[in-house]
Amino acid sequence: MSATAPLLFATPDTALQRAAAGDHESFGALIREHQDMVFSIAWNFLHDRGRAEEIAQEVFLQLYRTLGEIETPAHLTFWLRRVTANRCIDESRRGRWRIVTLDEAGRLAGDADESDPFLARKIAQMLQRLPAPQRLAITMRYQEGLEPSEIGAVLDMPLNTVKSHLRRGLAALREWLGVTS
Amino acid sequence: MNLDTELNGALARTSAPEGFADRVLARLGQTQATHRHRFTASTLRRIAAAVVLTAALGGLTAHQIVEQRRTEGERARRELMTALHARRPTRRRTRLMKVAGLLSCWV
Repeated sequence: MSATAPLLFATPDTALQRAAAGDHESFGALIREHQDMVFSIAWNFLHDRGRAEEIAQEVFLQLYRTLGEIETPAHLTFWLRRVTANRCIDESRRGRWRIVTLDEAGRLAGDADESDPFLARKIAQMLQRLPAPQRLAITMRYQEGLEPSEIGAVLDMPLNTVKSHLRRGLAALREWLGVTS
Repeated sequence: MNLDTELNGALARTSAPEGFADRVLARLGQTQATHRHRFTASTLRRIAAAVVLTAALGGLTAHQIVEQRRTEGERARRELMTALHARRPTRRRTRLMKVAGLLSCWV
């Protein structure tokens, strides 16, 4: 009896559990905790502020409907990365993203702590020329700091495919930027 | 130039737009209100459809029961008529045999 009593009267003790129970304030806290990550993935992929925000909002609305299936905070982070990546891919298939100018790219990279703002702009622009899977793999690698195996799990790709995307994407960037490795 | 370092800088996380969470929560509220309205409307439609279906099925069943009883009654009447028709000569024969028997005793 003593072992089961706490379970019977258990109350949600994390923001995730409270949000899953329908608490909007807790869900708001979850959004604030993860919004930069979700928005940045869409932002670095699309380089369109409006579309990036729309995708990020849709990801969180989908999250609200799926909260009951999320088991841990780590699972939540994984889920958010995966769903955001999938939505970015869908968006690129619809062809609604656009090529940005150097000035826009510079504004995108404005928050970055880089030594050469012009180079950051150029990289941001060059990234837009990469095929979607390569762009996503590079975004996950350098924005989120994921290992190739983790990228494979998020993007649902075999490890060798991820490595291939990273290698080809980086080679293209080096070539366009005139960098010798 | 170290490309890894430059990429880390260029792809660093950026802040979500101001008020992002509030906009998501507002959309969530709108979605739920719409969902509740749709739920109510669809529930009423389903209840109405269920009532109509139940009435139709009930009427059909009642009609089938009445029809079955009528058919059974008709069959029973036919069987009775057939039985009576088959027995009539026998009874007549029996009666004739009795009459015939009495006559033979009297004679």
